[in-house]
Amino acid sequence: MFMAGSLRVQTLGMFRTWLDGALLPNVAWKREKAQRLFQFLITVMLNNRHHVLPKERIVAELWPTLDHPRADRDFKVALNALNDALEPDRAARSLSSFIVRHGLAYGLDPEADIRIDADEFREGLKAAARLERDDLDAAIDAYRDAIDRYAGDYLPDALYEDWASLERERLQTLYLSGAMRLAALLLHRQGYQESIHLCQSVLVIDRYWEEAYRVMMIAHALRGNRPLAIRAYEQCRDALDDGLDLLPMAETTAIYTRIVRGEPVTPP
Amino acid sequence: MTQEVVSFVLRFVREESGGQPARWRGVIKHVQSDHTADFARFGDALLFMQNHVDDAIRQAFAGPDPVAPEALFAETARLWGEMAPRYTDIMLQSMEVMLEQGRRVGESFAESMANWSQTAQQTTQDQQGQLLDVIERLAAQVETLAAKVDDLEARLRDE
Repeated sequence: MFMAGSLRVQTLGMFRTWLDGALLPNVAWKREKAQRLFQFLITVMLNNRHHVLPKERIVAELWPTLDHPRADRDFKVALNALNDALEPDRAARSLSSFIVRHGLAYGLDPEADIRIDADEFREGLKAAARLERDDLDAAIDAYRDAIDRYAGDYLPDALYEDWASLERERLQTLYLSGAMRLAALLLHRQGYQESIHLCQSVLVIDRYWEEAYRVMMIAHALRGNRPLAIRAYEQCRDALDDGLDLLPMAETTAIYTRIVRGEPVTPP
Repeated sequence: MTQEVVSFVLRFVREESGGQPARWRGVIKHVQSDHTADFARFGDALLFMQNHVDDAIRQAFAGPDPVAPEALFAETARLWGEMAPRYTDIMLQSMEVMLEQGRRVGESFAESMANWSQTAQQTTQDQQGQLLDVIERLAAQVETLAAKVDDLEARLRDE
């Protein structure tokens, strides 16, 4: 009897798939559209593990310019190639272990052993937020674990696809707020250098994220490095002025003033 | 069959600082090219969208036969005339969702901040009221713009 295997999928930073622990080589996909169909179904599953989509919707997203007969044919070809890639030893005409079909609707099997890094990242952030109330150290560890899973943008090879862009935006926003939360919490545990690194990684994505400058200023000040704290404020002021014609917010300037005067600052 | 898609991902960031009115800024991304632009005034985001839509129209008309500038302009006007009223609805709905989310967050904070909430809630309501006023004025401006575009398009057709 054929036993369903396990799939582990990396969607953040780059796209890779492991079947029963072995990395699936690129040649296994045979067709680019088979891989794209899998990525699309992964995206659907991330939004709702039990969701299946009518074939028309899938075709409209992946083959928008083809007429119905050609799109239908290309969908079948891609689906076959996908099944072959995920289950190379599957007997002909047998049911797929990973893809379910309900009438003319398709999706990934919610009961199948499929682990997606983006899903683990989101769940990790949720768990960390819950821990904050009772155990700050455990929350910091949980945030760290979740943030480490964010290896980069969601499906960077599907950069120009609408359906991937929405998920990419959702996940990136989660990363920004999660990283900032961790950076702020670390100040309470003297994790200044790690906090600064997190702020810098946030600013690489969004150089106007003013909270990142504030936390960085406080971290430098608490480490006793006043020049770098002042430099962080100046970077903030220059970025806002150059790009948006805005001034730093009053809270940011107030922290700066305290640092310049040599007054103590406290973590947010 | 040809199909041209121009899509944008729009991110609004709301920043608040110690009792001061909240500040909005944003990032807009053109999905098909991955171009992004930061903005603090919404008009800049509109301009970014307009430029990319114009580019798409120019590319659609690109070919061996020269196209009269009037035809290009008429097509741009037609598309913007179609999009502007719907766009206003979308923006208002998005803003309403954000305000609703803000209200929910406010409610969840209320328990732990019972002694402080009276003044703060009044301030938040005032800010939301001001924001809604701004949105309504913006909506009226967009409607006026759409009417002008319709009028312009009609005149171009007549000519």
